[in-house]
Amino acid sequence: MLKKLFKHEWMETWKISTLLLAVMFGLTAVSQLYFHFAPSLAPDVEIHVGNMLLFIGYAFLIAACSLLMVLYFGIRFYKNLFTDEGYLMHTLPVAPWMLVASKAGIATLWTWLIHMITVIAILPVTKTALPKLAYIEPYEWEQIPSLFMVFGIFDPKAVLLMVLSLLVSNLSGLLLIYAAVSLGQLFSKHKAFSSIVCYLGLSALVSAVSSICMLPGLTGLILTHADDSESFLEVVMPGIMQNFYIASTLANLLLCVVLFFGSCYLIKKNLNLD
Amino acid sequence: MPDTHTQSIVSIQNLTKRYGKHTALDNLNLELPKGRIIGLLGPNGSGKTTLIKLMNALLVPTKGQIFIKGFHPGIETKACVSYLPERTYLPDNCRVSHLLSYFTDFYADFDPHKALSMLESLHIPVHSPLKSLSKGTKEKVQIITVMSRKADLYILDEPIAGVDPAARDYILKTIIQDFREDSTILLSTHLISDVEPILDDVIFLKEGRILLQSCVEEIRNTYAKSLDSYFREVFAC
Repeated sequence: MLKKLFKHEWMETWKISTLLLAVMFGLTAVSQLYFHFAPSLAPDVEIHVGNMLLFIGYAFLIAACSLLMVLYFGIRFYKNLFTDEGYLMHTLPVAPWMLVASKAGIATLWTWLIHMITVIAILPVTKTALPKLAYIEPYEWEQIPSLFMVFGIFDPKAVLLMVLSLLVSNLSGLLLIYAAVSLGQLFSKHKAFSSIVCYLGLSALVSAVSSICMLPGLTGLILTHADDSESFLEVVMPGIMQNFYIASTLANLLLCVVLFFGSCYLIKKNLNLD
Repeated sequence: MPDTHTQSIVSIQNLTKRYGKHTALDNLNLELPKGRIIGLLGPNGSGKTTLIKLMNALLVPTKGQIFIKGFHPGIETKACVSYLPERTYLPDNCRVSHLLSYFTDFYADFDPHKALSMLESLHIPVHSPLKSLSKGTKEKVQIITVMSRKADLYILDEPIAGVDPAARDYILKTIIQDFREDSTILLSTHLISDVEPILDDVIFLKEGRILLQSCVEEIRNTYAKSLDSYFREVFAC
């Protein structure tokens, strides 16, 4: 039954998701073409305001596509399980956890895909656009690879950890929305508004707990490497970022488990369709 | 009274459902026999839809139990209960054909050929997007998908309220024609005069309690009036 739920969830969501991806590709292609043919800046021109605004606009639209994808799946979860469509979904001979799992699975796949493509699309456009946004001295260009080394772009292991961390983070983000929507159904009136309030509350709680958990590590980092200078970015930071990816993945996995079972419990015990 | 020796498909014991201070169902005890078409009748707010939702695991009881074929409402009962809610639950973003494949995938007892035949009889194109259909046509599609299952229990909440009189006759005729002796139909409606000819038994519900459970024939013989007239008398405002 779970496979069938995945199949139908895919069939009902691929059109909108593909459209958003197509819009992203379109925007990226147009931006890449524009910045490729735009003239580079002379040394006496510090910043090209027009190009800067265009680039910010492009980045904003790409981020909006990504956000729209997440919102689409969040609204779909609400509409499909807690409005009139819920009369169809909740009378299927499947367990509540299968309904949540199928939606979370397909939504994670699409949101992860769009986030990965966001990263992959923005990098080449940024590389092409940089000389057209502001005049960059030759020695400043040499420092850019060091910045990428911090995030481990040139290390396959770090790239893999980053991709995995992004996947789990997407899943936890979606499950946070699902849990908030499920909590919102406990209220007799204004359920949609209550879901939004619950989402803000849960997000604040997760942020607070994350900050508290990260505090010892960050404090140790500052105390240990306070005197490091040149070697910090290229030698120390990549290792720290890898540890961060691992810790973040594990923490998000734990969050996923809590949110998933919490949502399933709320749906099983407190369902009350209008 | 229904034949007490007939095996029950539904057994409801001390069922209570409260929403805050309001009691929708109050200590209900009920047995629904197999092989009968049963009308669940009552004024607005009597608890009919609450009872139906509890039987379909769309609500959790405050107290008491429901057994359908020996199981609590859940996966096992959903596989053998065909439910038509009062509301239109069809997702707008798919076609009639996709809905049929949906039902084929999830319900082993769904007969797609029967559904296609009924759609053709009612002149509903299979490839129509559901959002292009009128409210009445959507309700017809819902009824067709529900009645195309070979379920042990059909629960129909206002099956003919939103359809035209000709379609009503077609639906009621379909219910009778396809009725199997080993299945049960529980039908909730306000259009008593329309459904009276097909009902075997009736349950009157008032303020969450059972007022009456009887054979329709017995009511006619005892009170010398139609079910519709007797209902109006019992629930007169």
